[in-house]
Amino acid sequence: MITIYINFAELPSWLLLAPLKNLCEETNIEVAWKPMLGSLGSVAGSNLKPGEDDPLAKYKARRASARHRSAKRENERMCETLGLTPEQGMRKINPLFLSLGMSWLTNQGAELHQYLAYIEAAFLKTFRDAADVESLVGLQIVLNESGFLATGLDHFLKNAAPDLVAFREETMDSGIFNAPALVVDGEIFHGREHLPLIKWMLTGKRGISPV
Amino acid sequence: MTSRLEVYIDFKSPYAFIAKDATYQLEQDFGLEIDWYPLTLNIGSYLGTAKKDDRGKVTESNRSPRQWLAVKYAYKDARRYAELRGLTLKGTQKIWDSSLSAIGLLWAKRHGRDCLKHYIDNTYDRFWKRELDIEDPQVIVAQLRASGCEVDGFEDYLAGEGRDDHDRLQDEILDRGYYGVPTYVIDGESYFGRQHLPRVRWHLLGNVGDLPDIAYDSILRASSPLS
Repeated sequence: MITIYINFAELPSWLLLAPLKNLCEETNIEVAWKPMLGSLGSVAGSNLKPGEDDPLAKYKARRASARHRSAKRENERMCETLGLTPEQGMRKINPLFLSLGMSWLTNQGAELHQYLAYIEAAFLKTFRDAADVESLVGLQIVLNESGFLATGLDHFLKNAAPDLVAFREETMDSGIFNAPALVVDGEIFHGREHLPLIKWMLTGKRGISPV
Repeated sequence: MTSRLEVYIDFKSPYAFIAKDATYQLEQDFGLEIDWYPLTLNIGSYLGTAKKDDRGKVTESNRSPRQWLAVKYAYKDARRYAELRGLTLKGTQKIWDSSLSAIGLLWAKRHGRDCLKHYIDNTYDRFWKRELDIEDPQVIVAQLRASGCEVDGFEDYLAGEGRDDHDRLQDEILDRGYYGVPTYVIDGESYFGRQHLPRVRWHLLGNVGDLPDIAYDSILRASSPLS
């Protein structure tokens, strides 16, 4: 069993899909899906007491600027891979409704190919089409386009949907603080870059381990 | 094909330590000589500060709970890859000022590739076994000597020209947009983190085909001493 945490607001979660699909085909591993409403992101912050001067203020500002430039370039690379313009890739959304859609799939006992179709459709509608994905109507369109029924969704959202804000806090407190995250046998991996190691682990740890 | 690759490292970064051998592999595979530079991180400025005693108990800390989460994950993540490579990676007991060892790197560069490689290998290995006080100038002198470097004049360099060069370099590095280690730079394109090594290889091969995605999937030859 591998548990995958997805953030619909971030391109790295989208980029996980293709290699993850390959991993599932090669290993037949069972997948559980969890939505993440946010990530820890930068943990940089002030450790100063109120009123204290920060002797590192200049350094921090310059480092933040360097980090911002690097993130912008990485966004361009991700967009190139996904066939987006950098402007499309910079869209900011609240992933609540798309995350609730994933909870709906779980509630309905969706299979792997249905999750993959839904997640792919959600990212396409968000970043390629700049569609409304922050409302119930927008969610219903994504579900329809991915071929998943929305009958009963209203009732689910009003009566049985999980509290995803509380779930986010619990998840972060448990040590899962960025998406995509993958959990295999209780071991946490932040980022799709770990997939080669996970595959190596799941296929008998043969040959030289990835670095 | 380009033959110039700059790599920025810091001896107190476990991630740069793990990346070292996969980075050296680039020299073998592409017939190039890496231009190594020190990038001295000020970790306390973005991850808070903490000290531990010999038993691992935290004795001082100004980290937030979420900064602790990030730090603990980083060490756990680095350690699992280190263990697979047979490397010893003991968590540090404080945030070290690694600038002296960085100046040592600049000095070792002046004495040729063999001296530099020995210095980098030996300093990384011993530091992560908790065998080196890299804030002690005499320890850096000993490291250089053990690496085959001439050390006459190093202490003057450490306090004068070397310190000036190091501090100026750190300013320039930030201005260039590099802020973490390991950072790889080819033709002005920078890649932060060893997960970019597939892209670095793609770049060194002349950008043929699609840009690869990031992955901890570095090529290490079976004949590598650590494999």
